[in-house]
Amino acid sequence: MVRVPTGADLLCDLLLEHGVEVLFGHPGGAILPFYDALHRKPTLRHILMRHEQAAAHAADGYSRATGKVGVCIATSGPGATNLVTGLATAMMDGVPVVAITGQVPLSVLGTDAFQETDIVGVTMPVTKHGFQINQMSDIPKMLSEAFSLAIEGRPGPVLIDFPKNIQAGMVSPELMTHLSGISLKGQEISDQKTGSKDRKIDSDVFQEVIALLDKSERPLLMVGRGAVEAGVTEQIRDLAERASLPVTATLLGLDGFQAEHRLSLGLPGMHGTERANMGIQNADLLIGLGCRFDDRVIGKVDEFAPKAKVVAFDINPSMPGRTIEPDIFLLGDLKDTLPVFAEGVSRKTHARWWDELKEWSREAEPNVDCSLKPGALGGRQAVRYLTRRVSDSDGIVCTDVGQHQMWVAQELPNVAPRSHLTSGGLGTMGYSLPAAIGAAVGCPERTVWVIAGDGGFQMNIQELATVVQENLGLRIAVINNQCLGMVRQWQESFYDRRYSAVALSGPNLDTIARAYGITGHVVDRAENLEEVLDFVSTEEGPVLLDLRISEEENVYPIVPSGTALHELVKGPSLPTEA
Amino acid sequence: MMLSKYALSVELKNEAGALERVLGVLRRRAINVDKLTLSKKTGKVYHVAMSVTDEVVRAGPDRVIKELSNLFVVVSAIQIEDS
Repeated sequence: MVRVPTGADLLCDLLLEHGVEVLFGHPGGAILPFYDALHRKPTLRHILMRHEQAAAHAADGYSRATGKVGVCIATSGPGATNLVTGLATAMMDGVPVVAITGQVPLSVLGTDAFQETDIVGVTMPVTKHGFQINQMSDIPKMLSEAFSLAIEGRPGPVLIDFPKNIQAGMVSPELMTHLSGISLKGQEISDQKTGSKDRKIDSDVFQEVIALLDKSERPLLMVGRGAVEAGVTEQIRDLAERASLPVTATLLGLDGFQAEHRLSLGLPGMHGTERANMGIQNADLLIGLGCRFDDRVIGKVDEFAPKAKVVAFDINPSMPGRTIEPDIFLLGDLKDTLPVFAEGVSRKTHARWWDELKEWSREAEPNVDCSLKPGALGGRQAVRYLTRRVSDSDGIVCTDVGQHQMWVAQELPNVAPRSHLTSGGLGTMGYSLPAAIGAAVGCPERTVWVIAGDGGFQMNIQELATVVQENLGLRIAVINNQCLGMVRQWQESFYDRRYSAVALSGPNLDTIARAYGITGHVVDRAENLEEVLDFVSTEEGPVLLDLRISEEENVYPIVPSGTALHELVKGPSLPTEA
Repeated sequence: MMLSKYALSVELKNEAGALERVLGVLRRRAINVDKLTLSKKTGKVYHVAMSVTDEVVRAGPDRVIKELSNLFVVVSAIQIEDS
């Protein structure tokens, strides 16, 4: 007897048809019919996360690492609301994610039914759009629209809310016949925005930018995540090499331009290098490639790049004017716009400009001793050796938020595109471990590293269980200073050392690791670091390093909030007020 | 000097929650709606005319229109003369 498919079966089939291979989720009451259908679909892999927030981050990490759309699943109510932080993280960084939530049956919608939340309403500001399936025939249309919308323009998260009665309902023979007659994948989405699809490339504007670059004496390129997402990093390197253009890569663009390339100036912005920041402040032409000039990058807005004409290549039409107003804005996908620009760029050396740039330090903290002579372990020191291992293993590194994140951004050697995953826009503590799970599932052939602080790590520490259950060989390093380091640094520098709610006591992370079935190691001496890293690099299964450092180490340079990029403070002799 | 009072004309898809999304773009910028008229233009499109007060953030009509135009439900958004 042929089984009549349910709405949930239909959704599973359509997910497969849209190329989905893996789902990150957590079941519950209102999503049970979907999980029942999943049971009948062994080709659709499901990773059982221990918290829905982690499911959203894992889908995000999967997407950033693979370039595919990440999919997460949660039940209604608390399951759905737990997704919010993960969706907001993906929204801020432009990561295509489709979230599917269970919902109470339509018959009780709006009655405060058990585990009912208006999740489409809750997630409005943190998604590109939210769909609620109201009838069986919505399923193919909305899924198709959701996947198109997630990747269209600036990518981002889209939510589909799926009431339980439709999940469990039978698909009518008429709908089945209708569906078998159409190809869903290439379905035209009902886009009523006339002209949004066929943006014309105005060649005059490109000629203007090419002419500007041609006569510029101090040009500078700024590369963001848009370049990584568009897959144009090689073209950017070729372009930069041809015209000897200095390049600064933002936090989310770090894997878009090789850090050790001779043209790399390092990170710009709040914890950027002197060379990148002074370069920006002295440039006469600044060309942004897929970066949104956010407040952490530009410092004091009125004094950002004061001598430069700013040209922005970006896919988001609402980007200009949010922070700065570029002199020239080139709207479009870098895949389309960059080649038109690049082919007009001629060979240059910019020798005088490079002489000037080399006056400013390329190193984050030139005076800090990172040699491994016997003594207490340092944070920057630990990160320097860790990131070398990441690079040597051609690995992917996922960082959390705070001091260690900035040290990684400053120290990261060459890595391939889609290999540095971090929550840049939202700054979500707890991101690294679940994102690494997503990356490891999506890229099983790569070595995936987690570098977290002890504060953020504990926000999703439960995912160690997922790591073990899925047998993912993550290399996890916790830079453990027993406090909320970045908050502490700000309290030291800008709040006259009034340390408020920053001390963290415990737990013993190596003991925790062992409880989950993960090998744990503690390192607190510099001279022991390399030996443990040698072991970690060869170990097959997951391993956790508890790297104990002093709580007093700070991140430099720093451009204090509200000051201009050239006012960066290079080292510990800080003024006490900003 | 950024305008603190202005009027907008927005065409949006006829679906539940579409107006809420438009209002959300305003709310997160502390923009208050003084007057709002909603009418069906076609079976698929609604037309909304509204006058707003934008004196906290002073985002301005250009910014608001750009952000509204980014919404999936918005077909078009323009500034109009306040009536």
